[in-house]
Amino acid sequence: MAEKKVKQIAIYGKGGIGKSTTTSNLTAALSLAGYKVMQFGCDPKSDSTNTLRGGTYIPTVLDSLRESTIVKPHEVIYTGFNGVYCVEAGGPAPGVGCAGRGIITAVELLKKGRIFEELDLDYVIYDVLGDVVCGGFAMPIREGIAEHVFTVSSADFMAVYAANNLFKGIQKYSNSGGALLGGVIANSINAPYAKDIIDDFVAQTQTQVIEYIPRSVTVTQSELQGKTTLEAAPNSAQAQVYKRLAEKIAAHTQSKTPKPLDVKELRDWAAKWGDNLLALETGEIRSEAAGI
Amino acid sequence: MVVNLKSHQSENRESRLGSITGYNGTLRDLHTQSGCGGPQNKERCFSQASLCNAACALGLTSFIVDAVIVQHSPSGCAVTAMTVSNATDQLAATINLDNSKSAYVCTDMNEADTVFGATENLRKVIIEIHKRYQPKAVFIGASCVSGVIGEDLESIARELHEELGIPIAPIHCEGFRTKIWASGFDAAFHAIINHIVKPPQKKTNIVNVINFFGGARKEITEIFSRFGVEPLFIITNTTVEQLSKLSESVATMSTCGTLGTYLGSGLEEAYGVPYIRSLQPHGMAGIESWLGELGKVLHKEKEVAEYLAEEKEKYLPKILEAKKKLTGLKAVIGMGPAFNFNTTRALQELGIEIEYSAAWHFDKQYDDSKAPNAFQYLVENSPNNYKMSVSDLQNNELLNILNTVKPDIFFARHTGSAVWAMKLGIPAICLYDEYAVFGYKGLYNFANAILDSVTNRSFTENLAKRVKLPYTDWWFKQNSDYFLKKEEVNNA
Ligand SMILES: Nc1ncnc2c1ncn2[C@@H]1O[C@H](COP(=O)(O)OP(=O)(O)OP(=O)(O)O)[C@@H](O)[C@H]1O
Ligand code: SF4
Ligand code: SF4
Ligand SMILES: [Mg+2]
Repeated sequence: MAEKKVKQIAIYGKGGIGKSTTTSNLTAALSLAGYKVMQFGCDPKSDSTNTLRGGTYIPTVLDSLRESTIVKPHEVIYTGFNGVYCVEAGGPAPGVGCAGRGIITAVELLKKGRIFEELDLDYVIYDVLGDVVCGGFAMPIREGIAEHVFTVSSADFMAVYAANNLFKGIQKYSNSGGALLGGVIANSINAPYAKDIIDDFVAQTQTQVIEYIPRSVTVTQSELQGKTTLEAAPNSAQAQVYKRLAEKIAAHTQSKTPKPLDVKELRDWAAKWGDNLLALETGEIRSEAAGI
Repeated sequence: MVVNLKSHQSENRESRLGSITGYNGTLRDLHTQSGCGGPQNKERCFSQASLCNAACALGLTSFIVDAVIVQHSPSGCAVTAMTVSNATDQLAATINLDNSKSAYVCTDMNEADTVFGATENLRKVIIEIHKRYQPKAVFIGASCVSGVIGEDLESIARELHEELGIPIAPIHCEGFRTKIWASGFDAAFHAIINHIVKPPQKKTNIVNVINFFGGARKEITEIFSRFGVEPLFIITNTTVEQLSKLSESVATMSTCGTLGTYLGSGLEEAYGVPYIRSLQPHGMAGIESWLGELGKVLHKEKEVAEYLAEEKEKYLPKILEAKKKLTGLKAVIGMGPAFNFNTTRALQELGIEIEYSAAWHFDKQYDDSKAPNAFQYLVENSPNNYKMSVSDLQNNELLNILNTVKPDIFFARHTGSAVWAMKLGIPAICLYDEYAVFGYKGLYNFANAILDSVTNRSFTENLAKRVKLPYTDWWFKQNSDYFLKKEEVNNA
């Protein structure tokens, strides 16, 4: 029997943009579609998988490292909603140690244990902390750990800026077997101009939007119950959006090297959109989005 | 003044003193370049292993008889412990010192420590070490790892100082800070001035003599007694108590300009103890300058002159006799800059011609913003404008130079490099004792040692015949500066 190839996906994006929410719903949706999925939180906050486990925290890979340099799978892998596997890398307390090294260590520990193969997984989804600040956080896109990267971004300039930085990271490792870009998951897209902004950005950087996710109070309500939207409100419109995202990601095969904007291009691009939005506000362009 | 004692750490030599490790040219060209904003450091596109400044910083402080070194690093960084632990014991034994309160330990940082930080472990180690050895001070040695992950050594030191009641002094000798190992001396002295030395209670008649091992302890004590002062050889074999009183001394001087600049200038800046800036006491001009400047500070010019005259009378005729046999010998010298320049001057006093000089770094200036006296002296007085290279002991470059020049003799200060010259069949002398050329008498003894080496060559010749060098013919055909990048790189 030929060994099945685990599809490994890394989700990046600016802090607080909705990575963990989106990832957890994606994990839940893929699992409901019949796949074996592991969600791997790469963030010292170790809160990535909370909504898959009723709002609870689990012991982390790096916690187990304090005791021994070999991880025992049962100490770090926990099952959550619909049997998904949850892992948290963990890390140091804020302001001490090296979180970046922690991510590298945690991912390597799991890889060494050949745990993905043993569990016969279809998907491993890495939910990686905020911006790529140093080498450690680039770990999942280096050395062929994940093959596909998706970035969660809203239409806010700082979110786009973080996405563009990530593209630079991907471009850097693209020639040495690093992960390539699957596309942008456009989160909190309600206003039409927001869609226009993100569409323009992906066109400029030669990538695509894989799905538009509206901002929805259902997400908040589910989160307050410690659940994903797929668990708490499976029949809601928002759940259908996440299912669509899961289908598209399951069908996605070819990732590409993006063309990030350089500093000046990005500034010019933002300035252009600043003018557009101003025109929109002063009524030069009429739109329903005028009440920002 | 360049020494900034307010900061937690000393600035590295590259930025503080404009020091470099990459240069190839001549003595006077290096001087010219030093004048106009330079010299520019030349990077190497290939480099052999060099030395970490932590080795200088912690090696030196580990010779304090009642202090403990705790190196906060992976165990590999603590390789220095191997070289010093034996030496500290032997030295203490020879002069009857109780060094049972000293130790060199390492926190052995591992992967988990790197990820989570390990200041708590550091704290436990220091508390345990305090229990076991009851040291009078603890020095915490930083490392690359502790530096990269931003371990807060200052807070730990402050807290434990309050808890244990002894000075706890972090030494910022992270390896990546500097390419110049002597920056480690500065890091150690910075910690000593800031954590160990106390404000003066009174003035004493002690002269701080900054040196490595105090080999000429007896002789210098006798000399100084003629001037009514007493030497304190620092910091090897001193106690924390003695170091705490460095501020009370009448003056500070040094047998090595590289070693002494930071502590000398720092004590002058913080406590007004004059730092004697002179030639080092190698040979005739050296001792005249070293003691002459001391005499001025102590107002003992007459006594100094008398002593020097006696010595001169006793040894000058003998020196001149020996000089006849040595004149015309061609030499290569490879040492750290201060010993290099001072030994070169002494060799020239013996009529020996320096053909090539290799310095293990070059300080454009010391902490008084002036060029090192010994360098300036050579620029003004050297009979020839010999070739010079600056490298952080790149052995391949040294061997290339030796093979090209084929001198009559090679002078080293590190046993390791002396033997390499001998493998090429070149007699070599290692001036491991820093007082080997001390004053008139030292110069005379040195002359005899040189004569011995160049006349009894059979060991060197036999060794060369039987050794296969690791260098290719190709390498020996290149210029020794082959690996220096041609474009000039600013190293600040
Ligand atoms: N589409 C959405 N609709 C409504 N709320 C959302 C949506 N996406 C994210 N949120 C909310 O935004 C907040 C931040 O989301 P989340 O924790 O997923 O972000 P993150 O990118 O993982 O943040 P961090 O960088 O801190 O890990 C959460 O309270 C979440 O419920
Ligand atoms: S920046 Fe990155 S590599 Fe540096 S200490 Fe922080 S987490 Fe570690
Ligand atoms: S401090 Fe850095 S350079 Fe020095 S020995 Fe340790 S790792 Fe090497
Ligand atoms: Mg998150």
